Amino acid sequence: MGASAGIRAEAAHLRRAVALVPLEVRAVMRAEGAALKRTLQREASGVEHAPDLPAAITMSSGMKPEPFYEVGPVEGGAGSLALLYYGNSRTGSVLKDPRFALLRQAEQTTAKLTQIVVRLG
Amino acid sequence: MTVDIQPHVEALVAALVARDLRVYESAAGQKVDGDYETPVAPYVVLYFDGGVRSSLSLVDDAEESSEHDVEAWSVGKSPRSARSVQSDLLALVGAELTVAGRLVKVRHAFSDRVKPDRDDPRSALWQGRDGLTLTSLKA
Repeated sequence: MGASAGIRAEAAHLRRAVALVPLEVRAVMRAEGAALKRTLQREASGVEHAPDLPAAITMSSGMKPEPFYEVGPVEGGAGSLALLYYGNSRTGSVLKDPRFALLRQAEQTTAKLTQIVVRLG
Repeated sequence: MTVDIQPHVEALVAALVARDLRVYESAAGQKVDGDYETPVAPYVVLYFDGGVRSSLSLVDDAEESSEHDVEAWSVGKSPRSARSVQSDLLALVGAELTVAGRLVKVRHAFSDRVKPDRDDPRSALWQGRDGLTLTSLKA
């Protein structure tokens, strides 16, 4: 294969990657966000005086300005019960701090995004 | 099979006590042996499984590997005192704990800076919160 054929093949590969990477990244972010939402809903369940809190935990994901997912209680609704996550030194928090789950999910997300780049990059 | 996390609790407490820290578990003043005392700052309060008290389970389903979240509150009578406790606590990040049959390492999850205890201003206490995760592998 000559140099020009090689360049053409590389250009075609990059065009394919440019088309596919956003689609796959978007799918990963949506799936990972949904997984984190399920985790936080499970952890928020069973609180006697906050039965609506799990249902108030929602997820959104997108690609702008950069790939993201956002998970948490809806502000102003049962989300006001987010104070259950805070607590103090005397008694601790009622609910597990969501950052534990976020960090675990973020590690998985990073691994999946890395796989996409390795495969298509 | 299940992994009993109680030895993990005891190993973390022992590591903190070795650093001359007063350690309570599941409530300020609650000593690890189950006795209660009026808490005297400075001290650390540990909440295993990330602070969930009502449904605290001392077993985990994973035999080969497991992770145990710990919420640690560093408490002092001044910002400096609380930060000193927090610093001693965070010195354990990366350390290996001694648990029979397990390889246990302390990982850092998050830290909140030291703030006054706004829930009880009369206490005049300062407190910082840290999240640690104990990663435990079968030896």
